[in-house]
Amino acid sequence: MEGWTIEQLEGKDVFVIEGQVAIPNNYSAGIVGSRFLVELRDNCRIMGIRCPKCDRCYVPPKSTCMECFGQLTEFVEVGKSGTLLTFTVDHHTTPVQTASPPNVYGIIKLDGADTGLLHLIGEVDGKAVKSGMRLEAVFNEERRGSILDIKYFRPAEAG
Amino acid sequence: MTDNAEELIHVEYTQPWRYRWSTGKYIGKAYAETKRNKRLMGNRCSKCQEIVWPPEPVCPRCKVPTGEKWVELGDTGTVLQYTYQVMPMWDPHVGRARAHPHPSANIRMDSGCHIMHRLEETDPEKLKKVKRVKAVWKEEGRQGGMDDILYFRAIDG
Ligand SMILES: [Zn+2]
Ligand SMILES: [Zn+2]
Repeated sequence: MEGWTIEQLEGKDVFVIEGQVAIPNNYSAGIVGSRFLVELRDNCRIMGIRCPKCDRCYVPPKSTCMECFGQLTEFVEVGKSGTLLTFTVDHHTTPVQTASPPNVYGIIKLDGADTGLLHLIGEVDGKAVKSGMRLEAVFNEERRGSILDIKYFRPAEAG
Repeated sequence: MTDNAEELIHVEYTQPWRYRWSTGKYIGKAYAETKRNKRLMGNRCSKCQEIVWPPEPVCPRCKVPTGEKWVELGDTGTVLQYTYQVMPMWDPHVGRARAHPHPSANIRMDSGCHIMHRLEETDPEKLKKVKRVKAVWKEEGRQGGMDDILYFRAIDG
């Protein structure tokens, strides 16, 4: 049968069932998220959105301010470099992460942003990654309007 | 800033979640019986004497070990409820609708157990009259499990 198998153990009244649950998704990035992704794809620019009342700059951008609940519309470009706030090294494979492990995930506060952006960290051994280190975005040659148009963040040259 | 500021991005994908599980001894026995003998088998609780279906090592009513007094559920029963499906049932393994929709029913077997299965009748008017039913087993390609029964067919009396 398609998608799964059932197998009886040799000489035993026990079966092993193996398969998958396949969940069709249609994720919409929304108005603000789409703008963020289009800028990544077309211009290699990382956009934040600023709250005029609180002066907080959200990256990735969101339509509502978490502090004052105001509607946000003021897009600003932030730096391609930033500071690593925290990170983790992941040794598992999952269906959603196609890169082979170990994968280093970091939360990066880009220059000009007030929030952290979750992304992969590359070109560095997991053991050498430290909170507070400077990182810079590496863009893919072929971009399709995805957060993975940024390939990963790598350690930035000092200065 | 950009010409296509109005472009909306959406991503379509099918997310697979892999699993692998073993039936263990009790469900394994039930599956082996459907596969080998076209029989539904439950186990009778040593305390309350009710048939546990699907078979389990512990009685859900008495919370005591059920033991392995195996009993046949039989092939005949009475439809208590059914759902006429306008939309075909989803197949969770492949993320698509099943090709052949059949109504789902809650059937009380003559042995007293309740089971959920499909009905052969798909006409919404004729369905209303379906009361007594009998399991129609696959003659070939039985793998073990409830899908070894194709559906339940309406019978007289
Ligand atoms: Zn605000
Ligand atoms: Zn009991």
